[in-house]
Parts: sequence; structure tokens; C-alpha cells
Amino acid sequence: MLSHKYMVISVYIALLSCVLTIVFFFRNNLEIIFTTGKFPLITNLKFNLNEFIHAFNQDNTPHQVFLRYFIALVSLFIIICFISINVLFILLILRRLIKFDKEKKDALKIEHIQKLIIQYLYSDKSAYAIDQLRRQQKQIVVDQLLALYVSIVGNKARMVRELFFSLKLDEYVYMRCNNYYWHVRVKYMDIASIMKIERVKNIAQRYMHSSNSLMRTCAIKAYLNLDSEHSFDYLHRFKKYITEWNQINLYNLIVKQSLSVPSFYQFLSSDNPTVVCFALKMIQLHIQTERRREVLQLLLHKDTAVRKEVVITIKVLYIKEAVPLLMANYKTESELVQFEIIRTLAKLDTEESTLFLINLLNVDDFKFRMEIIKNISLTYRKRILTEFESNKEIVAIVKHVSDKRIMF
Amino acid sequence: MKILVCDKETLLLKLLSSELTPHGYNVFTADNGYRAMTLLRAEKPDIVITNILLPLINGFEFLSQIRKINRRSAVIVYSAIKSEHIIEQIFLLGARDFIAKPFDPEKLIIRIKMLI
Amino acid sequence: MNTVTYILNFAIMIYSLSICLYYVFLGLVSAFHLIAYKKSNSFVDHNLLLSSPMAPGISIIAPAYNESKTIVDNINALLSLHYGIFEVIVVNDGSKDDSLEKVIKEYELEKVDFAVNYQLKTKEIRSVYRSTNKAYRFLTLIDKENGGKADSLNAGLNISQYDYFVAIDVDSVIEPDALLKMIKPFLESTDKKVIATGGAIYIANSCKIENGQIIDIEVPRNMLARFQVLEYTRAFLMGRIAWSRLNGLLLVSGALGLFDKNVAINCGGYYSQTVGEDMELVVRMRRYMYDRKEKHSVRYIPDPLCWTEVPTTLRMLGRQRNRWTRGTMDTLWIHRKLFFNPKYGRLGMVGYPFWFFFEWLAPIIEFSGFCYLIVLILLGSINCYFFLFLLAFAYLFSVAFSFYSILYEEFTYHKYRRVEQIYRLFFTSLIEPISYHFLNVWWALTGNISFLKGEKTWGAMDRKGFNSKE
Repeated sequence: MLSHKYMVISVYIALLSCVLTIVFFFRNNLEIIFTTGKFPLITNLKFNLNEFIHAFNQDNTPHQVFLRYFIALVSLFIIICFISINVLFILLILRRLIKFDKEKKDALKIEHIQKLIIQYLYSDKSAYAIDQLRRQQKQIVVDQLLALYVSIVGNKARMVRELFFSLKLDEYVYMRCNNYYWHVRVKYMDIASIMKIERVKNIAQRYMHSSNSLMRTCAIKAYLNLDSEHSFDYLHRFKKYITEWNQINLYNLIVKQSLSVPSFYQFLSSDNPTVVCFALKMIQLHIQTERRREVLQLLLHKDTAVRKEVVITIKVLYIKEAVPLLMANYKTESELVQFEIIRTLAKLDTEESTLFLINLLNVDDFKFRMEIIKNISLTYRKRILTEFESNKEIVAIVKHVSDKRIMF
Repeated sequence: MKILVCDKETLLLKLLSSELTPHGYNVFTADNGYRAMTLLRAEKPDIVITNILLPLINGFEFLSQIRKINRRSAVIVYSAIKSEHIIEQIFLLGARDFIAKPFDPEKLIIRIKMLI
Repeated sequence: MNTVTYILNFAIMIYSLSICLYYVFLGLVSAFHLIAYKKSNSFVDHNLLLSSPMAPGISIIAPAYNESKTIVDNINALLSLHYGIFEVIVVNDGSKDDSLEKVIKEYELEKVDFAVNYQLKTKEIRSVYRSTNKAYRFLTLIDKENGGKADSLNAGLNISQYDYFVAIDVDSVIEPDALLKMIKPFLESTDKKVIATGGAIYIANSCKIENGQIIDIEVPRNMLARFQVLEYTRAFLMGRIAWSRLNGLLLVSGALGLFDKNVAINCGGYYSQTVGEDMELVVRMRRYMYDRKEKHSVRYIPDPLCWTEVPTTLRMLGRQRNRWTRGTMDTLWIHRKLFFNPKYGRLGMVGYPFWFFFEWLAPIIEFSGFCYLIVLILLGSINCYFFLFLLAFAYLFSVAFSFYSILYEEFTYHKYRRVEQIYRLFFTSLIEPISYHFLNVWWALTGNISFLKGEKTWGAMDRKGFNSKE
């Protein structure tokens, strides 16, 4: 590898000398160029430099002035490039070396801390281990304890949490939650939420309507986890967009922590369509049926995503009364919702809905036919086959759908 | 009896190792797929306990490699993933047991004894 | 005569200055974006998607042509990607070797009566295969008449069942969490719909690969490949990222890209009459969205998601570059209506013109610059001192640019970890402007010539694959 180093250095020196030569040519002029934008006369240089410079200085036509500025600009660029090449060269290699060293040291530290934690958990010298752990770098201890805490439950998990509090790491985390940088706040707020450090809830509340989407999601997650009483109240005045990614995050939290949830019907009247969507998703998840009729009113909501979610909710809550409404709306809906309506009607499986779907098979569109036959109850397949015997496409689809190798 | 435990988190590895060793098992640990494969070939463990997400190897690939290298190894997979598709795939690739993460390390021993 | 040279000089000067400023600007934009991205994704748990029922399904479409040697391993890697709901559609584009038989045997496949939705026109699909083994239930194999990469992708689209699709080169190594990372921008979109995402591509030459995963990363030993490392780093970390930030992307690389299927199908799918089908599709999808006045964006993720082997011989590389140039020209020509058309927003006013002036025109201008220089030297009217001055500038600028891209790489993913690897990259960037760069200009030029001659093929009589390996 040494040869490479020499190659780099030799090319580097060559480069250096090239540029130094140029700088040497300019040495008297640089200052003047930058202050006045004028190109002064130099008499003691070779090439045809004399004439070259002379030509510029004969008059002050716009062309000449422009050229002078141009040369000044390019020299500035050259200098910037040159400096940055040098700096980057040194910086990157130094950084590599330093980091290499630091990684080694960190690995040793982590090793030591891990040993102490295991000692605390599995030996009778736990008091000594705690004492030792107090002297270690807090950030690493927090990271290690957290990585362990999220993977286990039971007795050992309880011990880990106890260790966390007896090391007063909750105070450290609380302090970091107030950090100036948002990415630090997010990281430690997550930790506080997992470790259930109750007093972080106030900080979380402050950031729940933040304009930074990540900060917001994290604060909401922390708040939901830490305050079970007022948990979802924030949705009432929530103006921001809840993206699918946010929803997945919240959903995951609710399922994982089995949080107690309020009735989500109270949010269906929100002005924010994404809140309505989210509420509907939660109604589906917890199968909240107490005010199911209210869902139907949303079938004419102006937002497509909401209408789609309503149709899905009808399917999940199995609201048979909705069939005529769905059938009436079908024609005017957008394609996305139409697919959902087909799925819902197939699931609800009343006589009129089945008839409607089989009738729809007459529309010559592969996608819809596929969707209908895929979802419609098995018992109707024969009927479809006899009814549409001559239609090759439908016969093919029924065959496709009945094949166990294709539809698993 | 030899057990190979694989996970990215070295602390969890240490914990499981201290949990299982008193029961008379010979525990090997690997914190990446590359090391896991080397140990798998060298030690031919009877039981492999692994996280499905490992660095330097794809979890599914790892499962099929275990079957290729040592058919006798019983594999226990644990993961925080709850996707039905993935769990089904894990069993189809020859895993004998699936444990949802987070799990109780003290009860792991029961699962292991059930396999033998 | 004097006025002609004067105007010519002036024009070239302005052009080169603006190209420099353009690169500086891109570099700055991507620096900001990279920092923001790094911050906001350092603690994101992508694995959430694996346990969520809300994650959308993805169809992976992998066209294969005479890939017998590697196809089984590659399909294995695809089947074990980390994702909940997905399917892998392998399209055998009329291979002349035994790849079809190999796959059928390995995965216990059988012919099935698949109801194909012929929404996009393709060459005839001979048959569709599915596995009898449940472990391979996500795999579908299509056997069709030979029709090129775009045609195969279209056939795959006709079969696919999910709302998003990934187009990939079957021979590249995909990181297991690639789908998770690529789908995230779609899920994060607010009122601005994301229609396509791409990921950074790294070079796998000389890297140690085991079980379809990169185990050890190495700077390629081959010098040509090493030049391409710099080229790719610059293109992805400095170029594409900045364009993604400005929402002016025209290209999602054919090696790995995730698209919204409905938009892709509604605008007509891949266009099979071009060799640059990846770029053409993205431009057409964007055009379609602009025509319908829907807000949208195309994103690039700086994460290294895909590793690919690049050509290591002059002949292969030349062919690849020739094809790229023709693809670019094709797309620019087909969509010439976009040129400075305010109706197409940033795409028409910024993305397209910049691509036109700085990607397509640059090599041509450069070459004519060389010719002009020779003429001037012969006429004796060159100012030697001034010439050297500008030459030094050009050289230093390109070296500095490469150095900055290494810096970006270092601060984002530092895949090249060892000190000697950085030495090698530095050395490469010092000699690149005086060697590899000229080759590139030459290939781009010949690409232009063969485009004008009307060549439409993938550029080889003994065509072996779609991919950069050829």
C-alpha cells in the first residue's frame, strides 16, 4: 500500500509546483487584481506575456475591463480549489485515522460497560457494578441499556429498568430532551418514552404541534406513551398532515404497548381529513361499533382518501345497511374508491350486492373483473362461469383465481 | 450441547450466554452473519438461536444456509417483526420455533428444552 | 475573422463558467440535503414497516436475458429481501441459454393458466410459471418472446398485482432493506404525491460477496472501474441528490427504481423503442402528472441500496456509454416539447434545459473546444500564458470537485473505511481529469454520431445481458 502513498504524494507535489509557478507569475499582481480589478504590467516574464498584458492595458474598453474581472475571478477560483484540495486531503486522512482510533477506544469502553451490566444482572457483586457504572460515559450506558431493554421482558427487564433509574440516567435523558438540536431531542425523547420517564411528558406536549414532522411524530409517540389519560385529545386541534408514515408509527405504538384508547368517533367531525382517516383506521383496528351509523354520513366526504377509508370501515364493521348507499355511490366514485366498494360489497355478501357485482362483470375492464371475482364469495364462482360461459376473459380469470398455485 | 446465538446487539448476546451457560450448554455467539457462518461451519451447533435481522447476511439466506450446512441443527428465530408473511416464510425455511421479541430470557430455556 | 473568434471565445468562456457554477451550486444544495437527510434518518426504524399491516405491497420486476450462470443466486437474493408483502416477477426475455430450465428446476415451477391483463402491449407471453412449493409462493416466472428490456418490464407490469413496482437489473446486489428505505418517501408524501424513488448505486467490483451480500468493501483494483467509483459518487451524492431536492430529476437509474404503478401504466408503460427506457419513463410519468396538474415529486435516497459490477474493459465501457448517450438523446428528442415550457414547471424550466445544456451538450462543446484549440495553435494566435492559466483552473476545479465528493461519501456512509482506500481514491481523482475524462468525452461523441446514424440496438452483436456487464 505504500507505493500508493508515494504515487499520491508525487502527483500531489507535481500539482503543487504547477500552481506555485502560476502564483509566482502573479505574485506582484494578486493584490492589485483583487483590490482594483486591473491587470498590471509585468516586464520580466517569458512567453509572450508582455504583449498579452500590454494588450489589456492599452485602453479601458468594456471588453478589457471584463477580461480583467474574469481573470480575477478565475484566479480566485484557482485559489479556492487549491486550498480546498489541500485541506480536504489532510482533513479526510486525519479524520480517518482519528476515527479509527476512537472506534477502537469506544469498542473497549462498550466491552467494559457490557461486562459491568452482566455482572449486575448475574452476579452477587451488583453493588460494585453499579458503583463502577456510575463512572462510565453516560451516553454509552444509556445506549447499551436501551438496546437490551427493548429486546427483553420479565424479571431481567425490570432489573435493567431499576439499574437505569438508580444510575440517575433519567435525569440525563431529561436534560438531553431539552437539547438545542432537534435530532438529539428526538433521540432522547424516544428513550424517555420507552423507559417511561414520566416528567418528559411536559416537554413532549410542547413539541406535539411542531412544524418538523419527525419531531412532531416523536413527541406524539412519547406523549401517548407517558400520559394515558388525555392521550388522544391533541387530535381535536391538530392542523398538520398525518402522513401514512406517521400513522404506521402510531399504529405500531398502540399495538405494541396495547394503549387504552378513547372512542374515535369524536374525531370524525374534524376539519382535517387526515385526522378523520386516522380515526377511521383506529375504529377499524379496535372494532369500535358503538356509533357505527355515523360512519355512513362520511360517505359523501369531499376528500377521496376519507371516502376510501369509510368504505373499508364499513367492510370491517360489517355494516349491512350501507349496501344501497355504496351501490348508489359507485358510479360517481373515483377508481380507487370503486375498488374498495367492490371489496366491501363482496364481503358484505347480501343478495343485492352480489347481483350488483355480477352485473358489473359486464363492464369490459380486466382490472374490475379481476377484483370482483377475486373477492366474491367462492359459492358464486360456478354461477359466474355458467352465466359468462362465452366470455373468454372471465373464464380465464375464474381459472386464475381458483388455481391454488397462483392464489395462496 | 452446543448453542449458537446470533444477534447484532452484543449485550444481548452476553446476557443470553450467561443465561444459558449455567444450564450446561456450550454457548457460541456471533454478532454478524459472516462470523455466524464461520462458527456454523466450524462448530456444527445443535441449536441456533438467531435474530432474523443480522448484519452482513440476509436472515432468510442464513436460514437456508443452516439447512444446507447442518441439517440437524434446530433453529429458533426471534424477531420484533410481526408480519404473517415473514413468520410463515421463516417456518417454511426450516425454523423450528419463532419467538416474538421482546422475550423473557429466563423462559428461553423452556423453549430450548421443548425442542430436544 | 476577428469578431468571429471574439464571439466564439466569449461564448465558450461563458459556457464553461456557467458549467462550473452549476456544479458548485449542485454541490452546495446536496450538501444541505445530505446533512438534513442524515439527521432525520439516523434514528428512523425502517423495520416498523415489516410488522405493519398498513405497508403497501410491492412487485419486483426483474428482466433476465441469458443470465444462466447467476440467475438462481440472484432470484434467491430477491426472494429474501426484507419486506412483508411483495412478489418477485422474473421475466425471461427469450433467453437462448438454459436459464429458463434452471429456474424451473430449482424452484419447482409449473406452467399455470395465468389471466394476464394486457393493458400494455408487449411481445407474446409464451407461458407463466408458478411454484408448487409454498416457500417460493412469491415467485412468478414469465417466459416470453425476445423484445428487449423495456418490453420485458412491460410484460412484468401486466402480471403484477401490487400498487408499486420495482424495476431492477437482475445481476446487481440489492441491500436487504432496500425496499423499506425506498418505499418510505411514498409513505411520507403529503399533498405532493411521490411517483418514483431511486437509490444510490455503488460499485461492486473487487468487493467480497457472499450469499448475495457485500461482506467486504474494496476500491476496485481495475483502474477503469476505479474511475467509475468517482464518477458514480459524484453523480449520486452531488448530482442526483441535489436534483431530488430541487424536484427536477429526470432519471431514476434502471438498476433500481421504485415507481407508482398506476401512474406508470396510465402514461403508457415503458417505451420499447429506446435504449434509455429508464429515463424516458420518468420523464413521461412527470409529464403525465404535469398534464393533469397534479403536484408530484421524484426522490433520490442517498443510502447505498444497490451494488453493481461495472464494465472493466474499454470496449464494454465504451459500448455502455454509447448506449447511455443514445438513451439521453432519445428522451430529450421525444420530449422536446418540455424545453423551456412553463407549463411543465420545474421539469420544463430547470430540469430539462439543464440536462440538455450540461449533460448532453457538454461533451460536444468540449470536443469542439479541442478542435478549436488545435486550429488556434496552428494559426499561432494562442496566448500560451493565458492558456496555461485556464488549464490549471480546469484541472484544479475537477480535482477539487472529486475531492468534495469523497468528502461527502466520508461524511454520509463512509463505505470506504480504510485509509489506503482513501489514498487510492485521491490518486484516482488526481489523474482522472487528464485520462479517463477524455475517454468519456470521446464515447459521448461517438454516441451522438451513432444516434444520428439511427442505431437503436443495445450496441452489441453478441448481446449478453441488459446490464452494465454486457
